[in-house]
Amino acid sequence: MGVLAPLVAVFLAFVVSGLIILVFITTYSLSDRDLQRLAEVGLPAELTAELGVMSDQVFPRREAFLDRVTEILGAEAAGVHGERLAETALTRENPIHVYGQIFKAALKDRNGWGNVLYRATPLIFTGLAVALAFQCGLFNIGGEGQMVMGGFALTWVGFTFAGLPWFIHLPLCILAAVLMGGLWGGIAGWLKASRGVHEVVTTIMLNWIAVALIQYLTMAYKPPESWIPHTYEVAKSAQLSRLWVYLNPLGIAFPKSNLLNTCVFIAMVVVVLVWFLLKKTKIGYEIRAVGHNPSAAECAGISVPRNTILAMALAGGLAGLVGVNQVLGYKHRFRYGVMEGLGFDGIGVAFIGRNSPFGVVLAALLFGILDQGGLAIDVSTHVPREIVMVLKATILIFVVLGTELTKRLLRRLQKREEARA
Amino acid sequence: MMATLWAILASTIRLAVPYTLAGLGGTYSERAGVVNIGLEGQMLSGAFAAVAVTNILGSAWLGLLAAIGVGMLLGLIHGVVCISCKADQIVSGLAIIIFSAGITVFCSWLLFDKTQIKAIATLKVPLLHEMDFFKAFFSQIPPLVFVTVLIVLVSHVLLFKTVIGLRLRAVGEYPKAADTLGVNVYRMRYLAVVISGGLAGMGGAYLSLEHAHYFVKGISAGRGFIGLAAMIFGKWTPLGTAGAGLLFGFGEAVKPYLPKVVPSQFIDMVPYLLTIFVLASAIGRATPPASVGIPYSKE
Repeated sequence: MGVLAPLVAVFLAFVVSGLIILVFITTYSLSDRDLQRLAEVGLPAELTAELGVMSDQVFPRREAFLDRVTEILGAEAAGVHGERLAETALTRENPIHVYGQIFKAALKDRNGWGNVLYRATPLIFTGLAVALAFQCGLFNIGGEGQMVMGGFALTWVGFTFAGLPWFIHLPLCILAAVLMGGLWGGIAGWLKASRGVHEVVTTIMLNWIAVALIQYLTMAYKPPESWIPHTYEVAKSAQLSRLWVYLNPLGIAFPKSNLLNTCVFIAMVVVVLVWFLLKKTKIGYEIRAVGHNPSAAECAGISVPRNTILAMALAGGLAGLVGVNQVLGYKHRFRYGVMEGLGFDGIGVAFIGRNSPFGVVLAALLFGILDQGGLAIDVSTHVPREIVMVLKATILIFVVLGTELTKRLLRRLQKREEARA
Repeated sequence: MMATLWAILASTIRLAVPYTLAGLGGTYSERAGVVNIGLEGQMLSGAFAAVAVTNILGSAWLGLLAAIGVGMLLGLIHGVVCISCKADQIVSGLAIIIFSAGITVFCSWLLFDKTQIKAIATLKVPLLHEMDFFKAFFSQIPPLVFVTVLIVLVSHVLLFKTVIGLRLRAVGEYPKAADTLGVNVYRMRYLAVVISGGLAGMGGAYLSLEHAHYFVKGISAGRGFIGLAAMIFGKWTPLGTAGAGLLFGFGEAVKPYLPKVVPSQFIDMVPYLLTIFVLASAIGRATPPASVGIPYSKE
């Protein structure tokens, strides 16, 4: 039942977006076959010959197409035949074909898969950040802010302590990321626990405070000769290597431009750790108890304020790990542009994954596929890549609706059972 | 000296408009009990609709109407998800933000083949704009500012001095009591959410038609969230929101004049810091309407 709702939501979202593609994406072009057919239906031969010039041109809009026709044929001939030409030239994009292109580009070869995993890794972290907080009944919108704070702290440790060996430097960086992200999340948790301020508002505000702060810090630590808004480079001892460095010697061909790096293994370990924490430890039990029923938990001796702060801090720490992929594994410098939006996407990932650790992984992979595939359709079809954002949003809306409708359906079935008994 | 002060004042008033409109939208919605995070998305969509309709039909006023309409439509969608389907209001708002970000660029490519669109007309008041004095005046303080002031005053009267305003507020504080008195909770909340979207859309139209004279991808740039901050800092009242909008506008207006010591990013942080402060402080704390965020089910 749990897996069904998101799948149905994804399907419905694809249908809705497919309708948008079908209705709104129109192009006009006259192929040789079109001209042949027009000649058979009665278009004068000289006109068909003249129009042959246009056979490889594609026009995004009707006016542009008709303008060209008028150019070639002259105003009166265009006036007589224009409508029929436009009708014949009209082509729509087949949504199934577009979706096929998305999945093919993302999954057809190792390079595609590699990039999908690279894109999914930060989403796993931010998704877990939202999911873990939700287990405690808290709405953590602050993934964006916690991520950048942790990411900057990680970068700072990375370029400040340059002389250390990698097995000390790397864990130190990761620790800095978790602590700083955890601190940022903990602020929101503390405000809720001690002052009762709703965490949605505080996390949203803290997001933008963090973004403004790290933008200032990035400029403060920018190499003077560089025009790009990024910081100094992190020392080699803290950098993560791309996977092709390990896979190519083993005989597995992996392109050198592929961005997948060893952080993906860290992500997998973290997923298992979070699952273990939530399901098998006392801390996880208390967090979930507070999430299910705070007053019952309080009666059982579980401290609601303490677990609120703890859950938000852990969530913040998880979000902070994004920097390990984006900074240590990719740019080796801190740059907000590489991380922008990952926090918000994480909220979507968490909800589509039903706030469970393994669901988050699946949802993150889906988003990774959509992001990677979206780049491809921008080039190979006439559909702009922003359709991927529309897809993500509609999936989210349908998941939210679906969760609610499923709950109500279950409640109604339950009532019917009780009435019968 | 006087010229600089006048310039800062005019700039403050100009910059305050989007924050005030967005915050007003949030006020209407939250006073009725529905959290509308999607203001940012409604603003962005309004901005695009304004420029698109202006360029296609030639009139900026039609563009403004289109923006309000698009904002209302998104508000209606938010309402259906939150009020009728009783689903999670935060996530719905977030989905509207992502959707707007995608669909605006999508439509921008489809209709104009580029993502930076210059508005071909501006909002001109029919008779007054002929006169030189008004032309100069309106270039400093655009006509929409006066519309905004009017809306703020009307909202204040509407929310606090009329029966319908009382009902709207009742629905946000204790809907069950309002329901027993015969107030249609759902209809009141729908009204509030649609007004909310329309105001945010108007704010977006101001951004693209008056402020920048351009639509660019992501033109709203977080102003919807600052609008939420203005609403909270203004304690969920129209006048307070307008005051907060002016305050945040002042912060943005004064940025170029600051000494180098104060980094501009710290000014950017001020609205958010103030909001957290006013929510958490022991003195003068801002409390939201009691039933905000809780879907209502008629028993």
